[in-house]
Amino acid sequence: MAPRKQKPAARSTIPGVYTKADVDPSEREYAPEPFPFARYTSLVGVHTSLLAFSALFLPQTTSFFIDIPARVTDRPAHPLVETLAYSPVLSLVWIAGGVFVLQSWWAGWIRMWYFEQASRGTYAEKKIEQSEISKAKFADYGKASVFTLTVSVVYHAIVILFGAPVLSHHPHTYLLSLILAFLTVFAPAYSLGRLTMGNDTASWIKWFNWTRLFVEFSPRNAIERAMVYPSIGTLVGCWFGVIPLALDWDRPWQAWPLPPLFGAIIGYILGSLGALVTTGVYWLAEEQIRSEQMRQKTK
Amino acid sequence: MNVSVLLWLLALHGLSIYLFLSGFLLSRIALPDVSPPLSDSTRSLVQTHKRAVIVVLDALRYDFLAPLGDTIPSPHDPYYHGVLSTPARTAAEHPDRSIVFSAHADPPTTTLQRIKALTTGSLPTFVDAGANFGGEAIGEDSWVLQAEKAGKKLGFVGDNTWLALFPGAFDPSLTWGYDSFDVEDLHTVDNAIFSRIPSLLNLTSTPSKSDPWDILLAHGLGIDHAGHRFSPSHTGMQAKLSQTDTFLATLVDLLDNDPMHKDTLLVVMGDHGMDEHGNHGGDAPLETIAGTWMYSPTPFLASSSDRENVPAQMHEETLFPGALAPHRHTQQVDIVPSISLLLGLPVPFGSLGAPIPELFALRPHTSVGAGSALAVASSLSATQIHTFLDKAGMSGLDALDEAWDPRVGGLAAHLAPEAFPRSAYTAPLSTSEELDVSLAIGSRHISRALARDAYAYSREALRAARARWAQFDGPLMVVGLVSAFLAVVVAGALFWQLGLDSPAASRPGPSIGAVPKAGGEDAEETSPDTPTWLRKSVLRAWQAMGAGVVLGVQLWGAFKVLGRIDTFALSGESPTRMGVLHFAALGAAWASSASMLASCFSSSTATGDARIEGPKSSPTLLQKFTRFFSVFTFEAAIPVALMILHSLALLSNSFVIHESLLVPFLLITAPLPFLMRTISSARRDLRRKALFWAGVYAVCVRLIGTGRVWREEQGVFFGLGPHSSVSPSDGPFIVETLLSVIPNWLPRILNALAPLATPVILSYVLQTSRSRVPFIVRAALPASLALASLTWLIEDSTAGAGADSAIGGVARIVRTLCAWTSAVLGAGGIAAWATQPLCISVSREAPTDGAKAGEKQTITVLGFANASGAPVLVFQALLLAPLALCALLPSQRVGPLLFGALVGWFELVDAARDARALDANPVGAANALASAIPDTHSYTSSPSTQLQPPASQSSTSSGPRIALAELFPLALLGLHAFFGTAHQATIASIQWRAAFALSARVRPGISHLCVAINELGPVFWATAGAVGLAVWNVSPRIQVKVPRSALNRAKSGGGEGATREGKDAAVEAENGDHEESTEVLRAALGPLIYLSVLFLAGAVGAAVLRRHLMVWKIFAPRAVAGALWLIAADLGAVIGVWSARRIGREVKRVFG
Ligand SMILES: [Zn+2]
Ligand SMILES: [Zn+2]
Repeated sequence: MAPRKQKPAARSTIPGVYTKADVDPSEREYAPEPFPFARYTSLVGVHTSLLAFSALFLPQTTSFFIDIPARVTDRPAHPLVETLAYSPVLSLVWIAGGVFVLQSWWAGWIRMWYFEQASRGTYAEKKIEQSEISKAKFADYGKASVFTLTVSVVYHAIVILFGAPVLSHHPHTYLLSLILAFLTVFAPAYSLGRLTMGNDTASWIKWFNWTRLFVEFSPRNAIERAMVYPSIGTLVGCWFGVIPLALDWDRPWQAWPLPPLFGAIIGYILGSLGALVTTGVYWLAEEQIRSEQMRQKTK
Repeated sequence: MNVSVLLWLLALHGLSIYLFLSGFLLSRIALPDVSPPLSDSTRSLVQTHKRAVIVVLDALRYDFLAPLGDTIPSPHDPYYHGVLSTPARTAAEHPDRSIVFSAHADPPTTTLQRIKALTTGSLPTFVDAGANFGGEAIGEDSWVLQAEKAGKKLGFVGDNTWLALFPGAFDPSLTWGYDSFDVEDLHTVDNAIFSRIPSLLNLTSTPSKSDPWDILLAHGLGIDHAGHRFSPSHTGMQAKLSQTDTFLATLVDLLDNDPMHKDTLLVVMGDHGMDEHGNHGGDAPLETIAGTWMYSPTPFLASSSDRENVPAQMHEETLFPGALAPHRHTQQVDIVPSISLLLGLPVPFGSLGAPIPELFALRPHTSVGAGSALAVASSLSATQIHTFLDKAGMSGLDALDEAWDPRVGGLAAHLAPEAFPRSAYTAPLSTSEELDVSLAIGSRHISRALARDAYAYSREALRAARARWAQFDGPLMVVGLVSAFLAVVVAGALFWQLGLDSPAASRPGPSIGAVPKAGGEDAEETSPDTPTWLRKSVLRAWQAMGAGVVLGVQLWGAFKVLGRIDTFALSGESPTRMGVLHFAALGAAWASSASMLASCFSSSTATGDARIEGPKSSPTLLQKFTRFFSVFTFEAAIPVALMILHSLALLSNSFVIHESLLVPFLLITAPLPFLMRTISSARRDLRRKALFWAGVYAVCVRLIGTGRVWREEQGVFFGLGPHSSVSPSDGPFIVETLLSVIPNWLPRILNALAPLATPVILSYVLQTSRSRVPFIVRAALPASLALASLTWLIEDSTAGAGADSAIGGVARIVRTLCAWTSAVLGAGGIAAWATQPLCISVSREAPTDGAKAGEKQTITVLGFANASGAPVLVFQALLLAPLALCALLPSQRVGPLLFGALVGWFELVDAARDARALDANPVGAANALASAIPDTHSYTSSPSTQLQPPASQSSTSSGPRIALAELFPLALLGLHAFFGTAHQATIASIQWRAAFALSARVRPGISHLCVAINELGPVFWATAGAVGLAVWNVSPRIQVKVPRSALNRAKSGGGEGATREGKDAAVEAENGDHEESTEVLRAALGPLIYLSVLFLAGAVGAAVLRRHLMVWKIFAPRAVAGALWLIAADLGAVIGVWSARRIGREVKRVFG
């Protein structure tokens, strides 16, 4: 892993939480609020639970429309799994829908926090900036969606390179790629801005940000962590999710691409929780330091 | 010296493979000899039946057909005890016509091995050494072949394994074969048997067809599949058994009621048993106890009144697990002489069983006295065993010689002099003994004694043969695994130590003028391209190998004297059969590994390697360890993690089966760290370069994957899950889909044209560094490749025409001609390369300034920056020609794809190295890059060779050491190409057609070489290519500051003649070469480390899971494949290092 960028010693040595010390001293009074850790925690809980729910239970909707025939087998699976594996494509469609809605909602929060902690200046400046950002919401949303779709096509190609069939199963492979793209790049694209191929400074900065986060794995604060950890978790989970495919257990859920998909979702959830725990640890440490300082002041 | 290291490593690998495989593989010589037919008089003594119906019910355990009672466990299981009741019922009703007993099946209790034992009477082996070239057909004598030879008509219904084992033995009009793989299908095969066998029996009573068949064979799979699927204690098994019972009852009815069948023998037997879960393959008592039932419409068995004819020793009994009373027990191999002799056929040549006494003790319908038939049958069989063991090189064992009674041989020789010429194997008989023998036919007393002696000898022989052939040898396997582990450690230590030790790791800055160590003679001996410690330690390792042999032999002698060897055994297994050769190999492997390890870890830099003076020359242990752990970065961890995953995968049958999917998955993962390194680089051109070449690499890898074939076990699975809604397609299915759309000649033509892409790729890549491919190579390479693929195009399109037809004959001649031309051209290309490997072109320009003409001129060297890398690539392209010559037509496209992947990998790694250099030293590296991009060098020179090396030189060539992450994918690439050329790690997938690439018939040597190249070429090729990573885009170091003559003088040690400056230059030149050569060796070691770890993992998997159901189908072939790949890689590394050495010499000649 590339070495983390060294911060000036004067600032907080804990690279997690945005502190007042990090702000230019002249504007110390208007420094942003400390990161809303409590709300973040509850949202991560809701988000990950909903994600798990949509992965397991949304596909059950299939059984409302189609009468799923009982499989003749000496190894019956749980009805939940039977429905899930009955038609992988239908299950993937349901999951993709759920993931799309959930990620849109989640990305909204991420984007808000991202701009909150990034904005500098006086109160009035920040207000103006915020209104501009919320005006650009829909345009950005569109751009992020288009970017996500583009990435899903790239993912599709990559999944095929990893060994997915070339001439068949394209609906399966594509839906997997789409879900992967929504889990990995949608929220960052909505907040950081999508990657562009231009030669201008803005493109350059975006490129720098993206590579710093997703290639060098060096997120600097809670928000970046909340973007990076789940994305990495998704891809790693998907990679490991391939393993059950090869086992000769002869189970219905081993159908392509269910194991990598569930690996990805589990990876996302673990990544999300990992980000939460890391931020939590930093946050507690920061609180500790702050209370120390308070105690010394009162003395 | 580098080559010597690799040869030593090859020897080490060979020793560990030898040790492991001789403990693991059941090896046995399969002799092609066939027993001559019985004489008429002898036949009349033993034959009881004219016809036979032989029904093999797969996995029919003894208790399935045993009578209810104390001989089977109680309480009885209602699902399988007493359900198949016909055998027990008839045996109770007609003890002179029906007999039930159990037969011991030798492990592995797998169907294929059992069928071989049930027909040849021999013990199982993994590979029947000496079997004919290709095919699974049984090459040994068997009663099936004897019946065929005797002109009997054989019919068959059931598992088609038999048809592959005995091609042509069964009458096509009486043959119905079914696939045995689908375990879910309980009924197809059985139903076919249940309906066809009775109707075939009825045929005999049709007057028009008096003799429609002589032997009917059936092999039903229902009971086995029911066991696998449900386990025995299940209604499914009950249904299957009762269905089978109905069938058997029908057979009994038919035989009893049709007078035509009074000469028909019915044999029903299991090939093995099953455990409580319904599985088999191992040696558990339940798996090895097969049930057998024999039935005849006419009496042929010894009834209780005849018991006295059977010596008590011949009546073996055993206790079924959990039962209270013993039951009659035989060996499965006993069935072979029994069936043979009952049908009047000779005992098959390799048979190791003894005739079952009950079957021969009663002869009411012959004129001979009771009991004599038993003596005759036993003597014939025992003498047959004696002859066979003699031929198989197993005579001379004390116990066997003691058990041998010459009178047995005498009787057999008397009866069948053509089969057993008396002088050949028996001691001469005295006259009285002669008399005894001739009396044996009439005398009950003598015949009893002869039968007993013959039986005792047969059993002793079986015991000896089992000890020799059919046992895993635990201690030997462990010794082999330890040796393989040591080989891995040694290779790793060498790689690591060379990385630490190479001067570039601590490249001298300004203090270039180091002086060689005072000991001048030492420096003189030093080969200029190898560190002294390595040279010495290789020499020592070879010596240690020799000393180890002596030590091993002494150790063996000591143990032999103490009598301890027999005590070495894994718990519950038979004692080891380690011999003096094994001890010698063990001593050699361990001693030389220890010697090399000691050299690596001792203070190697102190052994006269004083290139650099200063504190760095001998790092402390702590420093070494910190350096060792500093290797474990994210970039280095990924390939190691992949290797560990790959190794763990070999412990699971699922992943071994799907290894052809696993390997490309790992291959596509491997470039990740390199891509990440370049993507985060600030240089756009580097990013583009990396992305482009990574794409080329990945696409080539993926396309190689389209050439896979699926293993039998992969079935309908194809890695996509068994319940996919759409039928998955890849590999052969792609071809099928394409064929349905496009004319079927198109893919053939495309495959045939594909090899021509290799020269195109080659010139495209070399163009960026302005390297020039020598003309001869440019001409020979495409021609050789084109002719190779033309050979296979002809082979493919005339495959239908027989060699005796006109078209076939002409095609064969043309094809042979093409192939030989291609081979000669390929060899010529390589020879041309060896004489002039470099791809540079030099142009001299006259100085523009006229005044000093002759003093200064500009020399431009095109292709300088990649002067060593480009020839490696050319060499790799040339090596593809023999590969193409031995690859079948569909695999022709793999060559260029493999080449593309290799090139892509080189360039990707190169980009990542540049990016890393930029990270480390932005300014210097940027300059270096900028000057490297034109890839030409111009410099001015004076006639006195005062060459000025470009300023950027050192920074370009002193990049970071070569990493395992860069090398491991090449090992994987070789494996991937193995799978991509339609191979699998199975014996069945060997492409024997390649044997006929150069000749119409098998020519020992050439044909074997062709098959070996076909199988192992890709792994060899990829490993040979690894050295390219050590020299790719590394331009030669121009260090000479003095005339060559001075340099030579300095090197030749003429101390007084050489100036100080000359000495310095010599040292410097040595260092430069040394560095490159060390890196080359490390590059060659990389893939070897991967493949030796893989071999170790495969061997451990096979050893640990040797009782696994699938060991002979999956783990054993995988272990053998791993060994072969390792050897191929070792040879590839040698060739690669040789090529790099050749290039290095040439570079030194031109630039030095
Ligand atoms: Zn079987
Ligand atoms: Zn079986």
